[in-house]
Amino acid sequence: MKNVLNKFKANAKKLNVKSVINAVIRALPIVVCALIIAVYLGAPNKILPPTPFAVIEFTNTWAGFIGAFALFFFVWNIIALFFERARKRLQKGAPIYTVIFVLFLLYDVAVLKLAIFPQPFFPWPDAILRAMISDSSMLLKSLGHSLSILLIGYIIGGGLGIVLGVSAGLMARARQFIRPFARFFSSVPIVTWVPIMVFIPIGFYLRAVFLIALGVSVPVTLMTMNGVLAIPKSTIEAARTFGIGKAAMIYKVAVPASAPSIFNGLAAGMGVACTALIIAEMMGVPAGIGWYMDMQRGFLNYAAMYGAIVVLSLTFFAVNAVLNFIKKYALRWKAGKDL
Amino acid sequence: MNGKIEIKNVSKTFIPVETDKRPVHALGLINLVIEPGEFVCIVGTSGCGKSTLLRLIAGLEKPNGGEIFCDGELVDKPSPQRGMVFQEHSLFDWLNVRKNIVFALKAAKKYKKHDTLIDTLLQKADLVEFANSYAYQLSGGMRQRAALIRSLAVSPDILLLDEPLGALDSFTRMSLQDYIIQLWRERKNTMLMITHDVDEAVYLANRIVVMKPHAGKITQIVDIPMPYPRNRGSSEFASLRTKLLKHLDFAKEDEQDYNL
Repeated sequence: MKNVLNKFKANAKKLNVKSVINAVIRALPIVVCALIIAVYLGAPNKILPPTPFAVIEFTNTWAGFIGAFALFFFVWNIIALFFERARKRLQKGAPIYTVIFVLFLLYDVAVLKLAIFPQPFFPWPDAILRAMISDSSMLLKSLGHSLSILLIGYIIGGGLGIVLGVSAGLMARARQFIRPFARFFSSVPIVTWVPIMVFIPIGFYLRAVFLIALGVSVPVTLMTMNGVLAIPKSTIEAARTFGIGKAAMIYKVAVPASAPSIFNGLAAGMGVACTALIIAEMMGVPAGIGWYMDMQRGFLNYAAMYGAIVVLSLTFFAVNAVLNFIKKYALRWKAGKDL
Repeated sequence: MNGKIEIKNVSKTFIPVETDKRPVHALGLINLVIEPGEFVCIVGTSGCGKSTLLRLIAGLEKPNGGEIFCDGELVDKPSPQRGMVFQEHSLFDWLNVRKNIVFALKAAKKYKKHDTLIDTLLQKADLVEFANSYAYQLSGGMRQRAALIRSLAVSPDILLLDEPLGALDSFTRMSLQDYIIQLWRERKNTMLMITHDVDEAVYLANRIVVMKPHAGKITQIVDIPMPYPRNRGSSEFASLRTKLLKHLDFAKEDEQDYNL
Protein backbone atom coordinates (compact mmCIF):
# COMPACT_ATOMS: atom_id res chain seq x y z
CA MET A 1 0.00 0.00 0.00
CA LYS A 2 2.78 2.34 1.00
CA ASN A 3 4.66 1.31 -2.13
CA VAL A 4 1.78 2.27 -4.35
CA LEU A 5 1.45 5.60 -2.58
CA ASN A 6 5.14 6.37 -3.08
CA LYS A 7 4.89 5.51 -6.73
CA PHE A 8 1.93 7.77 -7.09
CA LYS A 9 3.84 10.60 -5.42
CA ALA A 10 6.82 10.08 -7.69
CA ASN A 11 4.57 10.21 -10.73
CA ALA A 12 2.88 13.34 -9.43
CA LYS A 13 6.28 14.97 -9.05
CA LYS A 14 7.11 14.12 -12.65
CA LEU A 15 3.88 15.75 -13.71
CA ASN A 16 5.16 19.22 -13.13
CA VAL A 17 4.05 22.34 -14.97
CA LYS A 18 6.73 22.04 -17.64
CA SER A 19 5.76 18.54 -18.74
CA VAL A 20 2.10 19.51 -18.83
CA ILE A 21 2.89 22.43 -21.13
CA ASN A 22 4.98 20.12 -23.33
CA ALA A 23 2.09 17.66 -23.60
CA VAL A 24 -0.29 20.45 -24.56
CA ILE A 25 2.11 21.65 -27.27
CA ARG A 26 2.32 18.11 -28.64
CA ALA A 27 -1.46 17.95 -28.85
CA LEU A 28 -1.87 21.38 -30.47
CA PRO A 29 -1.88 20.18 -34.11
CA ILE A 30 -4.88 17.92 -33.34
CA VAL A 31 -6.71 20.82 -31.71
CA VAL A 32 -6.11 23.12 -34.67
CA CYS A 33 -7.12 20.41 -37.16
CA ALA A 34 -10.36 19.88 -35.27
CA LEU A 35 -10.95 23.60 -35.30
CA ILE A 36 -10.41 23.75 -39.08
CA ILE A 37 -12.97 21.00 -39.66
CA ALA A 38 -15.49 22.55 -37.27
CA VAL A 39 -15.18 26.00 -38.82
CA TYR A 40 -15.22 24.69 -42.40
CA LEU A 41 -18.33 22.57 -41.90
CA GLY A 42 -20.06 24.60 -39.20
CA ALA A 43 -19.67 28.32 -39.86
CA PRO A 44 -21.87 29.84 -42.57
CA ASN A 45 -20.21 30.74 -45.87
CA LYS A 46 -20.60 34.27 -47.14
CA ILE A 47 -22.16 34.21 -50.56
CA LEU A 48 -19.52 34.47 -53.20
CA PRO A 49 -19.97 36.48 -56.39
CA PRO A 50 -20.92 34.09 -59.18
CA THR A 51 -18.32 33.59 -61.89
CA PRO A 52 -18.65 31.72 -65.15
CA PHE A 53 -15.21 30.13 -64.71
CA ALA A 54 -15.39 28.48 -61.34
CA VAL A 55 -18.17 26.34 -60.07
CA ILE A 56 -18.81 27.25 -56.49
CA GLU A 57 -18.96 23.99 -54.73
CA PHE A 58 -18.09 22.85 -51.25
CA THR A 59 -17.27 19.23 -50.69
CA ASN A 60 -16.03 17.20 -47.77
CA THR A 61 -12.62 16.64 -49.42
CA TRP A 62 -10.98 19.36 -47.38
CA ALA A 63 -12.53 18.16 -44.13
CA GLY A 64 -11.41 14.61 -44.90
CA PHE A 65 -7.90 15.73 -45.72
CA ILE A 66 -7.53 17.67 -42.48
CA GLY A 67 -9.25 14.86 -40.62
CA ALA A 68 -6.58 12.44 -41.89
CA PHE A 69 -3.94 14.77 -40.47
CA ALA A 70 -5.80 14.97 -37.16
CA LEU A 71 -5.85 11.17 -37.00
CA PHE A 72 -2.16 11.01 -37.90
CA PHE A 73 -1.21 13.41 -35.11
CA PHE A 74 -3.47 11.63 -32.68
CA VAL A 75 -1.70 8.31 -33.35
CA TRP A 76 1.68 10.05 -33.09
CA ASN A 77 0.68 11.52 -29.73
CA ILE A 78 -0.30 8.10 -28.46
CA ILE A 79 3.00 6.59 -29.62
CA ALA A 80 4.83 9.55 -28.06
CA LEU A 81 3.47 8.59 -24.65
CA PHE A 82 5.45 5.36 -24.76
CA PHE A 83 8.53 6.06 -26.89
CA GLU A 84 10.98 8.80 -26.10
CA ARG A 85 12.31 9.23 -29.65
CA ALA A 86 8.82 9.70 -31.08
CA ARG A 87 8.08 12.15 -28.29
CA LYS A 88 11.19 14.21 -28.96
CA ARG A 89 10.47 14.41 -32.67
CA LEU A 90 6.87 15.38 -32.08
CA GLN A 91 7.90 17.97 -29.50
CA LYS A 92 10.26 19.51 -32.04
CA GLY A 93 7.78 19.38 -34.92
CA ALA A 94 4.51 20.24 -33.20
CA PRO A 95 4.98 24.04 -33.15
CA ILE A 96 5.80 24.07 -36.88
CA TYR A 97 2.80 21.91 -37.81
CA THR A 98 0.57 23.99 -35.56
CA VAL A 99 1.58 27.19 -37.33
CA ILE A 100 0.96 25.59 -40.73
CA PHE A 101 -2.55 24.47 -39.71
CA VAL A 102 -3.30 27.87 -38.18
CA LEU A 103 -2.38 29.45 -41.53
CA PHE A 104 -4.73 27.00 -43.29
CA LEU A 105 -7.47 28.00 -40.87
CA LEU A 106 -6.91 31.72 -41.36
CA TYR A 107 -6.92 31.38 -45.14
CA ASP A 108 -10.05 29.29 -45.07
CA VAL A 109 -11.83 31.82 -42.85
CA ALA A 110 -10.64 34.80 -44.88
CA VAL A 111 -11.82 33.34 -48.20
CA LEU A 112 -14.97 31.44 -47.31
CA LYS A 113 -16.31 32.88 -44.09
CA LEU A 114 -15.40 36.55 -44.48
CA ALA A 115 -14.97 36.72 -48.27
CA ILE A 116 -12.36 39.46 -48.01
CA PHE A 117 -10.44 38.38 -51.13
CA PRO A 118 -11.75 39.07 -54.64
CA GLN A 119 -12.96 36.01 -56.52
CA PRO A 120 -12.07 34.01 -58.55
CA PHE A 121 -8.41 34.83 -57.84
CA PHE A 122 -8.29 33.27 -54.39
CA PRO A 123 -9.72 29.75 -54.48
CA TRP A 124 -10.40 28.15 -51.11
CA PRO A 125 -8.39 25.13 -49.89
CA ASP A 126 -11.16 22.67 -50.72
CA ALA A 127 -11.19 23.81 -54.36
CA ILE A 128 -7.38 23.68 -54.64
CA LEU A 129 -7.27 20.21 -53.17
CA ARG A 130 -10.00 18.98 -55.51
CA ALA A 131 -8.20 20.45 -58.51
CA MET A 132 -4.99 18.69 -57.50
CA ILE A 133 -6.72 15.36 -57.05
CA SER A 134 -8.74 15.48 -60.25
CA ASP A 135 -5.74 16.46 -62.37
CA SER A 136 -3.15 14.46 -60.44
CA SER A 137 -1.89 12.39 -63.37
CA MET A 138 -1.16 15.53 -65.40
CA LEU A 139 0.45 17.16 -62.37
CA LEU A 140 2.70 14.17 -61.80
CA LYS A 141 3.68 13.99 -65.46
CA SER A 142 4.54 17.69 -65.44
CA LEU A 143 6.46 17.29 -62.22
CA GLY A 144 8.50 14.45 -63.70
CA HIS A 145 9.34 16.56 -66.74
CA SER A 146 10.39 19.49 -64.58
CA LEU A 147 12.50 17.34 -62.29
CA SER A 148 14.31 15.73 -65.21
CA ILE A 149 15.25 19.17 -66.59
CA LEU A 150 16.25 20.41 -63.15
CA LEU A 151 18.41 17.42 -62.26
CA ILE A 152 20.14 17.09 -65.64
CA GLY A 153 20.91 20.81 -65.74
CA TYR A 154 21.98 20.79 -62.12
CA ILE A 155 24.34 17.83 -62.50
CA ILE A 156 25.92 19.25 -65.67
CA GLY A 157 26.29 22.72 -64.14
CA GLY A 158 27.52 21.44 -60.80
CA GLY A 159 30.05 19.08 -62.39
CA LEU A 160 31.32 21.79 -64.69
CA GLY A 161 31.55 24.22 -61.78
CA ILE A 162 33.58 21.80 -59.69
CA VAL A 163 35.99 21.08 -62.58
CA LEU A 164 36.44 24.78 -63.38
CA GLY A 165 36.68 25.75 -59.71
CA VAL A 166 39.31 23.14 -58.87
CA SER A 167 41.33 24.09 -61.96
CA ALA A 168 41.14 27.77 -61.06
CA GLY A 169 42.03 27.00 -57.46
CA LEU A 170 45.06 24.86 -58.23
CA MET A 171 46.53 26.61 -61.28
CA ALA A 172 47.23 30.34 -61.28
CA ARG A 173 47.12 30.44 -65.06
CA ALA A 174 43.71 28.79 -65.28
CA ARG A 175 42.53 31.18 -62.59
CA GLN A 176 43.44 34.14 -64.80
CA PHE A 177 41.07 32.84 -67.45
CA ILE A 178 38.24 31.55 -65.30
CA ARG A 179 37.85 34.00 -62.41
CA PRO A 180 36.97 37.17 -64.36
CA PHE A 181 34.25 35.38 -66.33
CA ALA A 182 32.84 33.66 -63.28
CA ARG A 183 32.66 37.02 -61.52
CA PHE A 184 30.99 38.63 -64.52
CA PHE A 185 28.33 35.93 -64.81
CA SER A 186 27.75 35.89 -61.08
CA SER A 187 26.85 39.59 -61.11
CA VAL A 188 24.35 39.20 -63.97
CA PRO A 189 21.01 37.65 -62.92
CA ILE A 190 20.16 34.55 -64.92
CA VAL A 191 16.90 36.12 -66.16
CA THR A 192 18.92 38.61 -68.20
CA TRP A 193 19.90 35.95 -70.73
CA VAL A 194 16.43 34.58 -71.35
CA PRO A 195 15.54 36.77 -74.38
CA ILE A 196 18.72 35.61 -76.15
CA MET A 197 18.20 32.02 -75.07
CA VAL A 198 14.87 31.91 -76.86
CA PHE A 199 16.65 32.18 -80.23
CA ILE A 200 19.24 29.46 -79.73
CA PRO A 201 18.12 26.64 -82.01
CA ILE A 202 18.62 23.64 -79.75
CA GLY A 203 15.03 22.95 -78.82
CA PHE A 204 13.00 23.81 -75.74
CA TYR A 205 14.29 21.03 -73.58
CA LEU A 206 18.02 21.58 -74.13
CA ARG A 207 17.54 25.32 -73.85
CA ALA A 208 16.13 24.93 -70.35
CA VAL A 209 18.87 22.48 -69.41
CA PHE A 210 21.47 24.91 -70.72
CA LEU A 211 20.02 27.83 -68.79
CA ILE A 212 20.01 25.85 -65.55
CA ALA A 213 23.52 24.50 -66.11
CA LEU A 214 24.80 28.01 -66.75
CA GLY A 215 23.15 29.33 -63.63
CA VAL A 216 24.43 26.52 -61.41
CA SER A 217 27.99 26.45 -62.72
CA VAL A 218 28.77 30.06 -61.78
CA PRO A 219 28.37 29.96 -57.98
CA VAL A 220 29.81 26.44 -57.85
CA THR A 221 32.91 27.58 -59.79
CA LEU A 222 33.49 30.59 -57.56
CA MET A 223 32.92 28.84 -54.26
CA THR A 224 34.95 25.78 -55.25
CA MET A 225 37.83 28.02 -56.32
CA ASN A 226 37.69 29.88 -53.00
CA GLY A 227 37.59 26.60 -51.14
CA VAL A 228 40.63 25.22 -52.96
CA LEU A 229 42.52 28.47 -52.42
CA ALA A 230 41.74 28.29 -48.71
CA ILE A 231 43.20 24.80 -48.22
CA PRO A 232 46.08 25.18 -45.73
CA LYS A 233 49.43 25.04 -47.52
CA SER A 234 50.70 22.38 -45.15
CA THR A 235 47.79 20.06 -46.00
CA ILE A 236 48.77 20.09 -49.67
CA GLU A 237 52.47 19.85 -48.89
CA ALA A 238 51.93 16.97 -46.49
CA ALA A 239 50.26 15.11 -49.35
CA ARG A 240 53.15 15.99 -51.66
CA THR A 241 55.75 14.63 -49.25
CA PHE A 242 54.09 11.23 -49.48
CA GLY A 243 54.82 11.29 -53.20
CA ILE A 244 51.20 11.66 -54.31
CA GLY A 245 50.54 12.06 -58.05
CA LYS A 246 48.88 15.05 -59.70
CA ALA A 247 45.57 13.33 -60.43
CA ALA A 248 45.32 11.89 -56.93
CA MET A 249 46.12 15.34 -55.55
CA ILE A 250 42.94 16.61 -57.22
CA TYR A 251 40.44 13.95 -56.25
CA LYS A 252 41.98 12.77 -52.99
CA VAL A 253 43.04 16.12 -51.54
CA ALA A 254 41.74 19.23 -53.34
CA VAL A 255 38.13 18.09 -53.73
CA PRO A 256 37.57 16.62 -50.24
CA ALA A 257 39.45 19.45 -48.52
CA SER A 258 37.33 22.08 -50.26
CA ALA A 259 34.08 20.09 -49.92
CA PRO A 260 32.52 22.51 -47.37
CA SER A 261 32.92 25.33 -49.86
CA ILE A 262 31.76 23.18 -52.78
CA PHE A 263 28.56 22.37 -50.90
CA ASN A 264 27.96 26.06 -50.22
CA GLY A 265 28.28 26.64 -53.95
CA LEU A 266 25.93 23.75 -54.70
CA ALA A 267 23.33 25.15 -52.29
CA ALA A 268 23.53 28.58 -53.91
CA GLY A 269 23.38 26.86 -57.29
CA MET A 270 20.20 25.02 -56.33
CA GLY A 271 18.51 28.36 -55.71
CA VAL A 272 19.55 29.62 -59.13
CA ALA A 273 18.52 26.33 -60.75
CA CYS A 274 14.99 26.51 -59.32
CA THR A 275 14.62 30.10 -60.53
CA ALA A 276 15.95 29.21 -63.97
CA LEU A 277 13.57 26.25 -64.23
CA ILE A 278 10.51 28.40 -63.60
CA ILE A 279 11.65 31.04 -66.05
CA ALA A 280 12.40 28.47 -68.73
CA GLU A 281 9.04 26.76 -68.31
CA MET A 282 7.05 29.95 -68.26
CA MET A 283 8.87 31.26 -71.32
CA GLY A 284 8.76 28.46 -73.79
CA VAL A 285 9.17 24.90 -72.63
CA PRO A 286 5.83 23.27 -73.57
CA ALA A 287 5.79 20.88 -70.62
CA GLY A 288 6.59 20.77 -66.96
CA ILE A 289 4.99 22.13 -63.87
CA GLY A 290 5.84 25.77 -64.61
CA TRP A 291 4.17 25.41 -67.99
CA TYR A 292 1.17 23.72 -66.35
CA MET A 293 0.92 26.62 -63.91
CA ASP A 294 1.05 29.19 -66.67
CA MET A 295 -1.45 27.29 -68.82
CA GLN A 296 -3.99 27.01 -66.01
CA ARG A 297 -3.61 30.72 -65.36
CA GLY A 298 -4.41 31.27 -69.03
CA PHE A 299 -7.59 29.19 -68.66
CA LEU A 300 -8.46 31.20 -65.55
CA ASN A 301 -8.44 27.89 -63.73
CA TYR A 302 -7.04 29.38 -60.55
CA ALA A 303 -7.56 26.40 -58.30
CA ALA A 304 -5.37 24.24 -60.55
CA MET A 305 -2.81 27.03 -60.75
CA TYR A 306 -2.64 27.18 -56.96
CA GLY A 307 -2.30 23.41 -56.89
CA ALA A 308 0.70 23.64 -59.21
CA ILE A 309 2.23 26.28 -56.94
CA VAL A 310 1.79 24.00 -53.94
CA VAL A 311 3.42 21.07 -55.75
CA LEU A 312 6.24 23.24 -57.06
CA SER A 313 7.10 24.82 -53.73
CA LEU A 314 7.06 21.45 -51.97
CA THR A 315 9.29 20.04 -54.71
CA PHE A 316 11.82 22.84 -54.35
CA PHE A 317 11.79 22.37 -50.61
CA ALA A 318 12.37 18.65 -51.07
CA VAL A 319 15.33 18.95 -53.47
CA ASN A 320 17.02 21.40 -51.09
CA ALA A 321 16.37 19.08 -48.15
CA VAL A 322 17.92 16.17 -50.07
CA LEU A 323 20.97 18.28 -50.89
CA ASN A 324 21.29 19.28 -47.25
CA PHE A 325 21.07 15.66 -46.20
CA ILE A 326 23.89 14.70 -48.59
CA LYS A 327 25.94 17.64 -47.35
CA LYS A 328 25.54 16.65 -43.73
CA TYR A 329 26.70 13.13 -44.49
CA ALA A 330 29.63 14.19 -46.68
CA LEU A 331 30.86 16.74 -44.15
CA ARG A 332 30.56 14.57 -41.08
CA TRP A 333 34.28 15.11 -40.48
CA LYS A 334 33.72 18.77 -39.87
CA ALA A 335 32.85 20.34 -36.54
CA GLY A 336 30.43 23.20 -36.43
CA LYS A 337 26.89 24.30 -36.06
CA ASP A 338 26.58 25.79 -39.53
CA LEU A 339 25.91 22.37 -41.06
CA MET B 1 72.73 2.96 -43.33
CA ASN B 2 70.64 5.52 -45.17
CA GLY B 3 69.69 9.05 -44.25
CA LYS B 4 72.66 11.21 -45.19
CA ILE B 5 71.94 14.81 -46.21
CA GLU B 6 74.50 16.92 -48.06
CA ILE B 7 73.78 20.56 -48.69
CA LYS B 8 76.22 22.19 -51.09
CA ASN B 9 76.34 25.97 -51.73
CA VAL B 10 72.56 26.23 -51.62
CA SER B 11 70.92 29.61 -52.06
CA LYS B 12 67.29 30.59 -52.46
CA THR B 13 65.66 33.83 -53.52
CA PHE B 14 61.92 34.26 -53.76
CA ILE B 15 60.92 36.39 -56.72
CA PRO B 16 57.37 37.68 -56.18
CA VAL B 17 54.87 37.50 -59.03
CA GLU B 18 53.95 41.16 -58.48
CA THR B 19 56.69 43.18 -60.15
CA ASP B 20 56.49 46.06 -57.68
CA LYS B 21 57.65 43.89 -54.81
CA ARG B 22 61.30 43.24 -54.08
CA PRO B 23 62.74 39.74 -54.26
CA VAL B 24 63.37 38.12 -50.89
CA HIS B 25 66.79 36.58 -50.27
CA ALA B 26 65.85 33.71 -48.02
CA LEU B 27 69.08 31.71 -48.06
CA GLY B 28 72.62 32.56 -49.06
CA LEU B 29 75.20 29.85 -49.63
CA ILE B 30 74.43 27.12 -47.15
CA ASN B 31 76.83 24.20 -46.67
CA LEU B 32 75.93 21.43 -44.26
CA VAL B 33 76.38 17.68 -44.00
CA ILE B 34 74.12 15.61 -41.77
CA GLU B 35 75.18 12.03 -41.11
CA PRO B 36 72.72 9.11 -41.07
CA GLY B 37 70.98 8.70 -37.74
CA GLU B 38 71.86 12.16 -36.47
CA PHE B 39 69.36 14.37 -34.66
CA VAL B 40 69.97 17.94 -35.79
CA CYS B 41 68.01 20.98 -34.68
CA ILE B 42 68.04 24.26 -36.53
CA VAL B 43 67.37 27.27 -34.34
CA GLY B 44 67.02 30.89 -35.31
CA THR B 45 64.68 33.84 -35.02
CA SER B 46 61.82 34.32 -37.45
CA GLY B 47 62.85 35.09 -40.99
CA CYS B 48 66.26 33.45 -40.84
CA GLY B 49 65.39 31.02 -43.61
CA LYS B 50 65.30 27.88 -41.48
CA SER B 51 61.91 26.84 -42.80
CA THR B 52 63.04 27.48 -46.36
CA LEU B 53 66.05 25.24 -45.83
CA LEU B 54 63.82 22.43 -44.59
CA ARG B 55 61.42 22.83 -47.50
CA LEU B 56 64.34 22.68 -49.93
CA ILE B 57 65.50 19.42 -48.37
CA ALA B 58 61.94 18.07 -48.57
CA GLY B 59 61.89 18.95 -52.26
CA LEU B 60 58.89 21.25 -51.87
CA GLU B 61 60.96 24.15 -53.22
CA LYS B 62 63.88 24.22 -55.61
CA PRO B 63 67.11 26.10 -54.82
CA ASN B 64 68.30 28.90 -57.12
CA GLY B 65 71.88 27.78 -56.70
CA GLY B 66 73.67 24.77 -55.32
CA GLU B 67 72.48 21.24 -54.77
CA ILE B 68 71.09 19.00 -52.09
CA PHE B 69 71.83 15.30 -52.02
CA CYS B 70 70.15 12.69 -49.90
CA ASP B 71 72.12 9.44 -49.86
CA GLY B 72 73.96 10.61 -52.96
CA GLU B 73 70.78 11.33 -54.92
CA LEU B 74 69.93 14.83 -56.07
CA VAL B 75 66.78 16.20 -54.46
CA ASP B 76 64.42 17.62 -57.10
CA LYS B 77 60.99 16.60 -55.84
CA PRO B 78 59.33 15.36 -52.66
CA SER B 79 59.79 11.71 -51.81
CA PRO B 80 58.35 9.40 -49.16
CA GLN B 81 61.95 8.78 -48.10
CA ARG B 82 61.88 12.27 -46.62
CA GLY B 83 58.89 12.52 -44.32
CA MET B 84 57.75 15.85 -43.04
CA VAL B 85 55.66 16.99 -40.08
CA PHE B 86 54.28 20.52 -39.99
CA GLN B 87 53.28 22.82 -37.16
CA GLU B 88 49.56 22.71 -37.99
CA HIS B 89 47.03 21.36 -40.47
CA SER B 90 49.22 18.36 -41.15
CA LEU B 91 46.43 15.82 -40.85
CA PHE B 92 43.81 15.46 -43.54
CA ASP B 93 40.69 16.74 -41.78
CA TRP B 94 38.30 14.70 -43.88
CA LEU B 95 39.91 11.36 -43.01
CA ASN B 96 40.00 9.70 -39.62
CA VAL B 97 43.33 8.85 -38.01
CA ARG B 98 43.51 5.34 -39.45
CA LYS B 99 42.60 6.50 -42.95
CA ASN B 100 45.20 9.25 -42.72
CA ILE B 101 47.83 6.56 -42.29
CA VAL B 102 46.28 4.47 -45.08
CA PHE B 103 46.46 7.56 -47.33
CA ALA B 104 50.20 7.91 -46.66
CA LEU B 105 50.86 4.23 -47.27
CA LYS B 106 48.85 4.18 -50.49
CA ALA B 107 50.51 7.36 -51.81
CA ALA B 108 53.92 5.83 -51.10
CA LYS B 109 52.76 2.52 -52.65
CA LYS B 110 53.44 0.62 -49.44
CA TYR B 111 49.88 -0.26 -48.52
CA LYS B 112 49.11 -3.87 -47.74
CA LYS B 113 45.73 -5.13 -46.65
CA HIS B 114 45.52 -6.88 -43.28
CA ASP B 115 48.78 -5.26 -42.25
CA THR B 116 49.31 -4.96 -38.50
CA LEU B 117 51.61 -1.96 -39.02
CA ILE B 118 48.85 0.60 -38.56
CA ASP B 119 47.64 -1.00 -35.33
CA THR B 120 51.19 -1.15 -33.99
CA LEU B 121 51.70 2.53 -34.77
CA LEU B 122 48.37 3.52 -33.23
CA GLN B 123 49.28 1.59 -30.11
CA LYS B 124 52.67 3.30 -29.93
CA ALA B 125 51.05 6.73 -30.22
CA ASP B 126 48.39 5.81 -27.65
CA LEU B 127 45.71 6.53 -30.24
CA VAL B 128 43.99 3.14 -30.51
CA GLU B 129 40.70 4.52 -29.15
CA PHE B 130 40.92 7.44 -31.54
CA ALA B 131 41.61 5.45 -34.71
CA ASN B 132 38.21 6.40 -36.10
CA SER B 133 38.24 10.01 -34.87
CA TYR B 134 38.57 13.04 -37.11
CA ALA B 135 41.13 15.79 -36.53
CA TYR B 136 38.61 18.14 -34.94
CA GLN B 137 37.89 15.54 -32.28
CA LEU B 138 41.56 15.31 -31.20
CA SER B 139 43.62 17.54 -28.92
CA GLY B 140 46.62 19.40 -30.35
CA GLY B 141 49.04 16.87 -28.88
CA MET B 142 47.11 13.90 -30.25
CA ARG B 143 47.01 15.50 -33.68
CA GLN B 144 50.78 15.89 -33.75
CA ARG B 145 51.28 12.33 -32.50
CA ALA B 146 49.01 11.14 -35.29
CA ALA B 147 50.93 13.22 -37.84
CA LEU B 148 54.22 11.77 -36.55
CA ILE B 149 53.14 8.13 -36.85
CA ARG B 150 51.60 8.84 -40.23
CA SER B 151 54.96 10.11 -41.50
CA LEU B 152 56.78 7.20 -39.93
CA ALA B 153 54.37 4.64 -41.38
CA VAL B 154 56.17 4.78 -44.72
CA SER B 155 59.48 4.28 -42.82
CA PRO B 156 61.39 7.29 -44.16
CA ASP B 157 65.16 7.48 -43.75
CA ILE B 158 64.88 11.16 -42.97
CA LEU B 159 62.19 12.88 -40.93
CA LEU B 160 61.90 16.64 -41.32
CA LEU B 161 60.07 18.42 -38.51
CA ASP B 162 58.96 22.00 -39.12
CA GLU B 163 58.27 23.35 -35.63
CA PRO B 164 55.98 20.40 -34.92
CA LEU B 165 55.47 21.35 -31.28
CA GLY B 166 55.25 25.11 -31.78
CA ALA B 167 51.48 25.32 -31.29
CA LEU B 168 51.28 23.14 -28.19
CA ASP B 169 51.20 24.04 -24.50
CA SER B 170 54.44 23.48 -22.62
CA PHE B 171 53.45 20.26 -20.81
CA THR B 172 52.21 18.60 -23.97
CA ARG B 173 55.34 19.81 -25.68
CA MET B 174 57.60 18.18 -23.10
CA SER B 175 55.79 14.86 -23.33
CA LEU B 176 56.00 14.94 -27.13
CA GLN B 177 59.71 15.72 -26.97
CA ASP B 178 60.16 12.48 -25.06
CA TYR B 179 57.96 10.71 -27.57
CA ILE B 180 60.06 11.97 -30.48
CA ILE B 181 63.30 10.88 -28.73
CA GLN B 182 61.77 7.46 -28.15
CA LEU B 183 60.75 7.08 -31.80
CA TRP B 184 64.16 8.21 -32.99
CA ARG B 185 66.08 5.84 -30.72
CA GLU B 186 63.98 2.92 -31.89
CA ARG B 187 64.23 3.68 -35.58
CA LYS B 188 67.63 5.36 -35.73
CA ASN B 189 66.59 7.47 -38.71
CA THR B 190 67.92 10.94 -39.41
CA MET B 191 65.97 13.73 -37.71
CA LEU B 192 66.13 17.33 -38.78
CA MET B 193 63.97 19.62 -36.72
CA ILE B 194 63.30 23.30 -36.80
CA THR B 195 62.46 25.04 -33.57
CA HIS B 196 62.71 28.42 -31.98
CA ASP B 197 62.75 26.92 -28.54
CA VAL B 198 66.38 26.69 -27.37
CA ASP B 199 65.50 24.33 -24.52
CA GLU B 200 63.84 21.97 -26.93
CA ALA B 201 66.89 21.98 -29.19
CA VAL B 202 69.28 21.25 -26.30
CA TYR B 203 66.99 18.52 -25.00
CA LEU B 204 66.70 16.72 -28.33
CA ALA B 205 69.62 17.27 -30.65
CA ASN B 206 73.08 15.82 -31.22
CA ARG B 207 73.95 18.98 -33.02
CA ILE B 208 72.38 22.41 -33.18
CA VAL B 209 72.67 24.65 -36.21
CA VAL B 210 72.25 28.34 -35.45
CA MET B 211 70.99 30.63 -38.20
CA LYS B 212 70.76 34.39 -38.15
CA PRO B 213 68.17 36.51 -39.90
CA HIS B 214 68.51 38.56 -43.08
CA ALA B 215 71.69 36.88 -44.30
CA GLY B 216 70.07 33.44 -44.36
CA LYS B 217 73.34 31.89 -43.26
CA ILE B 218 74.53 29.37 -40.74
CA THR B 219 76.47 31.25 -38.09
CA GLN B 220 77.30 28.48 -35.66
CA ILE B 221 77.10 24.74 -35.19
CA VAL B 222 77.05 23.53 -31.59
CA ASP B 223 77.61 19.90 -30.59
CA ILE B 224 75.51 18.57 -27.72
CA PRO B 225 77.51 15.69 -26.27
CA MET B 226 75.09 14.85 -23.41
CA PRO B 227 73.74 11.27 -23.26
CA TYR B 228 70.00 10.53 -23.46
CA PRO B 229 67.75 10.83 -21.53
CA ARG B 230 68.80 14.34 -20.69
CA ASN B 231 68.20 16.24 -17.50
CA ARG B 232 66.64 19.62 -18.12
CA GLY B 233 67.92 20.88 -14.76
CA SER B 234 71.59 19.84 -15.01
CA SER B 235 74.34 22.46 -15.03
CA GLU B 236 75.62 21.14 -18.37
CA PHE B 237 72.17 21.71 -19.87
CA ALA B 238 72.10 25.24 -18.48
CA SER B 239 75.52 26.15 -19.79
CA LEU B 240 74.77 24.84 -23.29
CA ARG B 241 71.53 26.77 -23.23
CA THR B 242 73.35 29.98 -22.28
CA LYS B 243 75.92 29.36 -24.99
CA LEU B 244 73.18 29.07 -27.60
CA LEU B 245 71.34 32.12 -26.40
CA LYS B 246 74.60 34.04 -26.71
CA HIS B 247 74.92 32.95 -30.31
CA LEU B 248 71.40 34.22 -30.87
CA ASP B 249 72.16 37.58 -29.15
CA PHE B 250 69.72 36.91 -26.31
CA ALA B 251 72.24 36.74 -23.43
CA LYS B 252 73.16 40.34 -22.80
CA GLU B 253 72.80 40.29 -19.00
CA ASP B 254 76.59 40.42 -18.59
CA GLU B 255 77.05 43.45 -20.78
CA GLN B 256 77.76 46.84 -19.18
CA ASP B 257 75.08 48.87 -20.92
CA TYR B 258 72.32 46.24 -20.63
CA ASN B 259 69.17 47.35 -18.89
CA LEU B 260 65.60 46.33 -19.11
